[in-house]
Parts: sequence; C-alpha cells; structure tokens
Amino acid sequence: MNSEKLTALDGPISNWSAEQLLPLLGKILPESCILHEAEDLGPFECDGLSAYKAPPMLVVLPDTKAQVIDLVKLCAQHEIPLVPRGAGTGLSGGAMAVSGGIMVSLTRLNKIKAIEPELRRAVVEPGVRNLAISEAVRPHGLYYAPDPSSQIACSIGGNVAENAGGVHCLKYGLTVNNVQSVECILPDGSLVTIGGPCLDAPGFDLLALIHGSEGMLALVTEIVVNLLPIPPVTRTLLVSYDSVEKAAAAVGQVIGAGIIPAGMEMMDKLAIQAAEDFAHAGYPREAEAILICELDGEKEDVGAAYDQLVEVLEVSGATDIRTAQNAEEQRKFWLGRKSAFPAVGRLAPDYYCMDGTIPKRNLPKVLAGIAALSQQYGLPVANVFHAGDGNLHPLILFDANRVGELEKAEALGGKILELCVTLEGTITGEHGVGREKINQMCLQFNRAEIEQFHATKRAFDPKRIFNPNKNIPTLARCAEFGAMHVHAGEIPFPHLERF
Amino acid sequence: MPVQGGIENDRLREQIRQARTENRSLEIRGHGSKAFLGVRNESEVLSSLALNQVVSYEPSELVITVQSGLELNALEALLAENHQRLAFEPPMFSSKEGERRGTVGGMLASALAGPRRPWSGGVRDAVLGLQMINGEGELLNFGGQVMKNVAGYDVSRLMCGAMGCLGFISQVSLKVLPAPQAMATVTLDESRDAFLGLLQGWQQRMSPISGAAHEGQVGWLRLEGSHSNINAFLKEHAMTADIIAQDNRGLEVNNGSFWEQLRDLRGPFFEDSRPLWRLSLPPGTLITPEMLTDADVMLDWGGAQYWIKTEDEQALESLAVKLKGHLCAYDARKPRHFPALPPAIMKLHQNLKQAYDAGHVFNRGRMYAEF
Repeated sequence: MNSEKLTALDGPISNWSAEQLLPLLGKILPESCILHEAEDLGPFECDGLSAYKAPPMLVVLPDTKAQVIDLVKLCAQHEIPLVPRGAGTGLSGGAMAVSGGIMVSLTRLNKIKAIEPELRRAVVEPGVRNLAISEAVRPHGLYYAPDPSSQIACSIGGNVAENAGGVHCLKYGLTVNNVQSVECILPDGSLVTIGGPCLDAPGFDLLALIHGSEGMLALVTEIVVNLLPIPPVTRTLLVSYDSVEKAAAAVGQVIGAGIIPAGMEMMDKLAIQAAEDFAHAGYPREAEAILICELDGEKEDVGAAYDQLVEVLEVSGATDIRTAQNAEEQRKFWLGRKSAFPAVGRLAPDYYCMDGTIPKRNLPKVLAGIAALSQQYGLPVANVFHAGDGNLHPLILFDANRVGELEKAEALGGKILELCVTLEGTITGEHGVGREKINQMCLQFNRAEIEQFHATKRAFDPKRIFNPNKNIPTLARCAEFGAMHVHAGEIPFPHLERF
Repeated sequence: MPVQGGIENDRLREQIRQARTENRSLEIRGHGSKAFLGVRNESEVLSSLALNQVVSYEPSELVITVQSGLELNALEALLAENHQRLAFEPPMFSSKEGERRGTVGGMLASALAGPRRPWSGGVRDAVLGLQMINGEGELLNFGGQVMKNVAGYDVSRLMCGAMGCLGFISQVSLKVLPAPQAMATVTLDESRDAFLGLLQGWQQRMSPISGAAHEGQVGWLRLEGSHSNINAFLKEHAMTADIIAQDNRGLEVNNGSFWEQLRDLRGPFFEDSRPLWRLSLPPGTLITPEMLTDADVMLDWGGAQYWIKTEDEQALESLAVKLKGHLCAYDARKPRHFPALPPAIMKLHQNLKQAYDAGHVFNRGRMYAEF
C-alpha cells in the first residue's frame, strides 16, 4: 500500500505548505521557536518506533503556555493539523508528522512548578521527564509510581497522552490512576482545567477520557500528579522454571493466593540468554523461563507476604528460587530485565516490539501460538512480559536490509495481535495505537464502536485539528484492511464498498 | 468473550429505539437506591434488574465480569467467598425495611465510593471495561477484562459517574483485590483539628491506614494489612485496638462495624431529621466549628469528604466555594443539579451527550438542566 493511498483512506488531506505557514507562525512566535530547515527537522521524523518515518514540514517549540495557546488558536482558525509531541519515546507512531500540518514539541515546558509534600502532590509541566519527578520529590520520602521503561527520557505529558504503564502497574496502576488533574488547551484554543483538587470532580470523568487519547482531544499544559510514600522495604526474587507453562501457571497461582507483587516479570529462554550475554545479571542460562518477582511495602507486610510467596513458588514447580540479599543483587536481577530490549537487539540487526495484553490464564496458549507463528514466518521471537498483568512484549527479530523482511515482521506482529484479541485480550496494553496498530483496531472493535470513538473525537475536535489520522481508523480503512471484526455473526461494514 | 446479554439486551435496545423515535426520555433504574442524586425526570423506567448474572469470575485474574442489574450484596458475598473484595467499598443504602440496596449499574453510574476511597482509589480506578447501549440502541463493548488496555478512547471510565446520561450500562468488568489478612479500628479522643494533624503526620510514610473519620470529639482510624504490620503500627503509636483476623469469607463485609455503617450512611449521626449534605474537599481540609455554626459534622476520607446535617443550605454553599470544594444533597427532599461547570467544560458535556445520546433519551435533566 503506498503512502498516498494510506492518507486518502484516513480522511481529508491538508494542503498547507511551509511557505504559507511560516509567515503566519512568525506573527505569533519568535524565530527561535520555529524549525523549518531539513537538517533541523530530521530528529522529528519518527518517535521510538523508527520503522514509521515521516519528516515534519514544520516543528514549533514553544517556550510558554501563552505561545501554545496562540498556536492552537491559529491552527483552529485556519484548520491546520497540529501534531503534539513530547520526548518522542512513544512506540506506536503516535507522534508521526501528518502532511500539511505543524508538529508542536512541548519539551521546553519542563518546569516542576510545585511540590506539595503534605498533600503528596506535585504540579508539573508536560515536558518534565517521568523520572525527574521521582528524583525531585525523593527528599520528601515520596515518588511517582508509574514507571514506563523509557522513564529516564519520556515526558509526563506523553505519559498522559498514552496512559503509560510500566512494571509496577498491577499494584500501583497506570498514569490515569495517578493523576489528580490536568490543565489543557482544547482544539478551539480555550484553556480549561479537568479534574480538580478534590478526590472527585463534578460532571463526567473527562480526566479519564483525556488519558490515553493520544493527543487527539486536548493538549495538556500542566499536570498535577499524585505521589506515594517510598516503600521502606523491597524484596526481589529470581525464580527459574524448566518449562514456560509452569512459569505462566505460577503467575496465576501467586495472585490467586492473595499476593499482589509490586512487579512480576517473565522472560523466555531466548530473552534470558540474550540478557545474560549482555548484562551478566547471573540469570540461569539453562532455564526455559524465569520470573522476577518483587514485593514492596512495610517491613511486617512484606515479611508475611514473602513467606507465603516462597511457599507458592515451591509448589509451582520452580527449579530455583533466589532472593536478592542486598541492593546490589537486587539491581542486578532487574538489570537483566531492563536491558532485555537492547540485549535482544544484539541478536539481529533489527527487532520489532509488540504490546498485546491477555488474561493471565491464556498465557500458555498465547506462548504456544507465538511459537507457531514464529516458525511459520521464519522469524525468531523473544518473549518478555509484564506477567502480573498479562501484558506481553514479544520481540520479533529481523533484518530490515533483507528485502521484504520488515513487511514480514509487521505481518507476524499483526498476527500476534490478532491472537491476543482471539484470546480475550487487547491489541495494545501500554504502547498505544498511533499509526502502527490502526488496522488492528478494526479487529477489536465493530463499526458502531469505531463510529462512537469518532463521535467522541468530534465532541472535542470537530475540525480534526489535533493529531488527525491516528488511533481510530476510518470505516473505509477497516473495509480496505479486510480482516475485520465479526461481531455476533454480523458481517462488518456491509454498506461499504470493498476496494 | 463479551456476552451479548441475549434477549434481555435486545428488549432494552428496542425500548430505547422506541423512545428515541417518539422523543421520550427513559429513566435508567436498578434498585433506585440513589434516586436522591440529581433531579429525577420521572419517565418510563429502563430497568437493569433482569440483567443479574455473573458472566465470569476467575479469582486469580483479579477480574470479575457481571451484568449491571446484579445486586451489590450478591457481588460482595461472592467475592468474600474467595477472600476478595472491591477495594473502593461501594455503599449499599438501606430501604425503609433495613434491606441493603444497590446494583452494580448504579454503583458505576454514580461512582460513589466508601471510606476507603482515598487509599484505594475510586470506582473508576477499578473499571476495566464495559458493555453499554447508546442512545441509538446500539450495543457497544469498550475496554476489556485485562489490567492494561489503551486501545481507543477510555469510554468505560467516561461512563463511570455519568449518571446514565451517556448510555445504559449492561455489563462491566471490574478489578478486584485480595481482602487483607487483618483489620483493626482505633478510636482516639481528639478534636477534629488535632486528629487531622496526627493523620497528616502518619501519612507522610507508608502506613496501614485505610479509613479516617471523626465526629464530635472522637476520631476513628482503620488499619488493614498483615496482623504483624497492624501490631507494629499500634505499638509505635502507643495505641490499643482489637485486631480482627479475616476468615476465608472476608468477614468485614456487612459485619455491622463502624465502617460498614459509615459506608452505608447509617447509625446515630445519620438519623437526625435535617437534610444530609456531602461536601467534597481537597484532602486534609479542616472545617472548624466557627465555619458552620448550626450543623453537625462528620469527617470522612481523612478530611476529603464531610457529611453534614443542617438546614442552612446557604452557609454550606458559601463554605464549599471558600474551601474549593463542591456540595451535593443526599436527601430526596432537596433535588439539585450537579455542581455548576465552567462554560467550556459544559460545552464538552453537551457535545458528548450529543455523541452518545443525541435524542436525549437517557435520564433527561438528571445531572444538569442543559441535558
């Protein structure tokens, strides 16, 4: 499918040119905020999903909130598409440029405006890095819980847009569960606060709707995050298994026993060996699967849960259970897991990271399915999971320099997502839909559901100013994509012509 | 596997389509235990009560999927059998006969949570996905049965607290949590001011606190977690309390404790014949006796929620504004719309109403006069 056809499938195309837009921008922004030379635009041609590239026509880097408001008003007035971007670490092409549009990077709005230890809250601008929040509030014994693996670089504004998760979601929730309120600019340029200082705000829960909306409903300019006291005690276990099935079953057994680990990660043999070669974390090379299990909390609570956990793991058929004896060992246990992606990256010239979620009971089935697909497509797949919440990150290994291999990897990835939907799961747990999974949306949702999403977008942005052509496919796209959702025996999109 | 709800959903969809065609409003109703919220438009009832099944429940997934007409009592009992619970402690308001009332649909639509709310999150934090019928009579599924899901907009949580104004919820998947090993209630003879001060200090560190209320000269503190952890907290702060070990049925549900009474707004404080008001405030807010003279006050949620018995509506209104909070009447004699919204936010509400229920079929005028 060529790129023009892709765009035509997604709705009207903007015809603005850089020559037309530059004078308009010049009226509201200093020159230092506008990038338009090809060499300056290069870094903005993709986000963390480098397989999807489109150089932007213009990039705007506002220094102030007032400038962002002026920019949005300008775009609203002239119907110019505006693509918001944070640190650019997203993994689904959500911050990809659209033709005839402007990209706005919010990284210069990067101040921590207030820390309120007694309320356990912090007020931050969208360009503040995720980890910088925890670092800033540490002197107060507090931290910000959601920890996506890109936390050293990713921005909190992007976290809101993607409803970012991390390794501690099962116990501490996603971004949506840890944000108190946001101040944002609506597509008509009005500045509003959504949520408020109380635990509930009057009216509909717009705060939840903004989270994970991939920059399509509002542009966030300030975020009040909720903070938690740092757990005084953490215990980390490295557990080995001689079969993936046993490891997968153990995850359910632990949680079924009433233990909620702070983190519960699983890796298969290919991932273990790659991580060990890379990080020398002391992982058991001979194991078919490992679990990294972490408990945190107060001393007495962790002690009680630890004894119970070890008992469950022994019964589950673990071949080895190691508990980190000190902070250094703890760090090593995690090092292997946290470097799994670059480690696997050394096994092949390229890898493609997927992000499906399934109910935990279906872990053995999905693993068997992925193994079969891997064989069918002739591409190895290493598996790394947030096992506690059923979030899979299969890593497909390929070589983009070989003709057709990227397409093959994408096709295999698509099949894995289909498998997740079949196994009562979802096509994206935490990376978002963006451009990458827009076709698979047609698998998960039927015509009426997709139309309801579009109606939701129209309620905020009838002119499609904010981040158009992302996240929600047009019905025409779903008809073109072909493999569609079959809902209760209905034939999907019967009124649409297939082309 | 989203259950389509079969014949009953078809019947409801037909009723909705009919009302849409004839430009009539329908009043969504389960038990009607929260009928005092908002302004009722007493029209034809769209009842959830025939949708009363547990669709799936696997304790090790920490997820339960149920239909919206299921009684909360039945849901909590089923979870308790598996030593699990809804973390946010939904209230079950009593009928005149003392029977506990409330359905899953009403719990979701009202988004009311009990005394554990500040420490456990609210109803929306436990919503993973749902099935609904929009104003065109279309059956839609959003979200799912998994903890992490960012496919499409988060319609499931949008429906939570929307008072049925955006659609009829037919089924929901909820995150559940293990019940803790043990629980203790500490009573402290302290003024409200002193109690809040103590609470502030305890909460700077991790603690087993999961409830903090105050009335008159007595503060109540609930501690939950392992037996040994509760003991350690009591010892550190030189407090005494009986520690109740939870048996396999999670005995805290409906055991007549102070917390259960507070959750359901029962007990001596609530029996007063004056109207009951709820004031939602930033956490830790102190209402001093001088701020409200002719009123009885019960602090809940560690000062983020106050229950107030008074006839002086005017004084409460101005106090809500002054303290950056919002006010709600918990009394059928005082029908009131929800707290006013800034114009830009109201416009979004109206647009969303148009997107989900263009014919204004559902609960017309219940939250706001505008829709």
